[in-house]
Amino acid sequence: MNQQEYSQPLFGQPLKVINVGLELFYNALLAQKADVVQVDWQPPAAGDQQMVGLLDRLLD
Amino acid sequence: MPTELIIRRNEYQDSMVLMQINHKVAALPGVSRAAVLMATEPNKQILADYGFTSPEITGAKTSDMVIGLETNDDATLNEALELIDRLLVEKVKTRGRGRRFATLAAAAEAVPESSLVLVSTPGQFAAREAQRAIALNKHVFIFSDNVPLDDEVALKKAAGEKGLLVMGPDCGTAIIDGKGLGFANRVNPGPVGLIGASGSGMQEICVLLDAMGLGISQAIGLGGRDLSEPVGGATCRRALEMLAQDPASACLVVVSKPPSPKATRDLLDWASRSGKPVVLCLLGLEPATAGLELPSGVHLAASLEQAALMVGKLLGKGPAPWRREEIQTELDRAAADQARRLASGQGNLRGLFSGGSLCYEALALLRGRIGPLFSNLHLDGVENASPGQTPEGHLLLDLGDDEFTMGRVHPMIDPSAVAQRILSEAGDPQTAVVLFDVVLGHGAHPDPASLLVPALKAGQALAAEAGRHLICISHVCGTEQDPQELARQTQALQEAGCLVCASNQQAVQLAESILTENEL
Repeated sequence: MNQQEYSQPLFGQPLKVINVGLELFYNALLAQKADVVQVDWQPPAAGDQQMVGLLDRLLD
Repeated sequence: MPTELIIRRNEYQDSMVLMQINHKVAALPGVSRAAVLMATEPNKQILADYGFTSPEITGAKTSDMVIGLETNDDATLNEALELIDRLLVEKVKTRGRGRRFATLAAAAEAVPESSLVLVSTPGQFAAREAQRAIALNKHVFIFSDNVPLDDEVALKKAAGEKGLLVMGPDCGTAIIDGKGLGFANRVNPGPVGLIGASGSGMQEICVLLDAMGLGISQAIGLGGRDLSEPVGGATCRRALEMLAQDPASACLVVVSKPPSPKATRDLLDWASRSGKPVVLCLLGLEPATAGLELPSGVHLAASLEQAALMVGKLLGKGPAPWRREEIQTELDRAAADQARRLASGQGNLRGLFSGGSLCYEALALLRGRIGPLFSNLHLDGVENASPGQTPEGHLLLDLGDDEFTMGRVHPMIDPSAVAQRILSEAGDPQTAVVLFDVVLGHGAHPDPASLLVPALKAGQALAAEAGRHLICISHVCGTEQDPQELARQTQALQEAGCLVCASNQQAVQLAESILTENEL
């Protein structure tokens, strides 16, 4: 059995979520009194796919 | 007929918000065509299908909003545009109060102790966000679909090296430490650890266990492709390891469509290593004919209900309350009574599902027992039904499948597609039984019965006028704690003349008994 230690435990502690995308899921988590923050996601580089690739290569 | 095509540059709204706006605008009197969409490549195709094409649309970017309208006159056109603006402003005003950030990086910096990122962006950008999340040492839940397979393999490999979990892509359901992610029912904490490639399959098992007084420790979604050859069950394996080590999980369940022979062998191997009893539910796989050699401690269930009952037996709980003699007897009696009222010529089943796995299970349970069977889902023994085609036989549809949800909200969120279909099937003189599911929980419509009851009543009236009787059978997949109130939904459907069952299998068996009694 793999006894690997997880870099970030997921179970057994309060879940803290970052929601990237649909408000629906953010609202559902708020309704459950979950610890959640919302990212108002927008397409990067104004949706220009080529530019996205270029930017990513520069930043990573 | 004035037609207007407007491109709003760099005005992004999420697809769910836009679909709801689209729905309301399309319902305005005098509006004959309406489309409000972001200019993603799939959406450009939808716009074309709606009859909206132009060089501006072709050149538009994914951050541009496209509004296409065809109305009776200019006054209606203006009304429609005003409505769109009003709804957009309302959306901003009624947003959840809480911390908001422009990027994942900013959110992660402000909340460094966050443990999980939920990604539901358009598919072409989802892997990128998930990659960022893994780089930031977060677990990921990816709701988005249309994520390239190669990206899924790479993400799961990167996550695996860090001991992180990637649920998805195309993952609709999870429950982590009592919080539902995506579409999930409200359940109590308890000793059952659930892993599933099938969202509605997991939901069904959760609610049945809940009815038996058993709670869930964790429910881990795998996404639709995890158990495929290229991905190799990476998340499934990790999930089994994590649940094996989780002291709160005493019994484990894995639900999926039958994977490939190699993936099945791997699954049996990982399950046996968990050191805990594991119930496998491989939808459509008959244990008796599967020829699988099960390691000790690993059990194979023939259905979702059977899986729940097996868990109950292993943990000393049971029997199933929904199968109590008085309940089952009453359902059987009511079904036989309604069957007697069918007119000659009425012999077809119409199954309308918002839960894909529930539709799949229904087909698996019915094949070889009634026929011929048609569906948009693919199974041996079931023929393919093309949209708009009326097959000669029984039709069971997954209305949440892509072909039905292009440009529409998923029926779990908005059951009006199911309601419309109930009415149209009621008008077919050969329809005897309409069978449908109602899935409750977080993310689902706040009051599905309110939309379904009028359609049920109208359908029954339509049939009665023509001297026929429409039998309606429903399975409500929910718990007492769900926001929609299980008892209230059940009662509303029963008052509308519907036979309501607590499990998918019970509903399917009831339909089958009616159809085989009345062999025409």
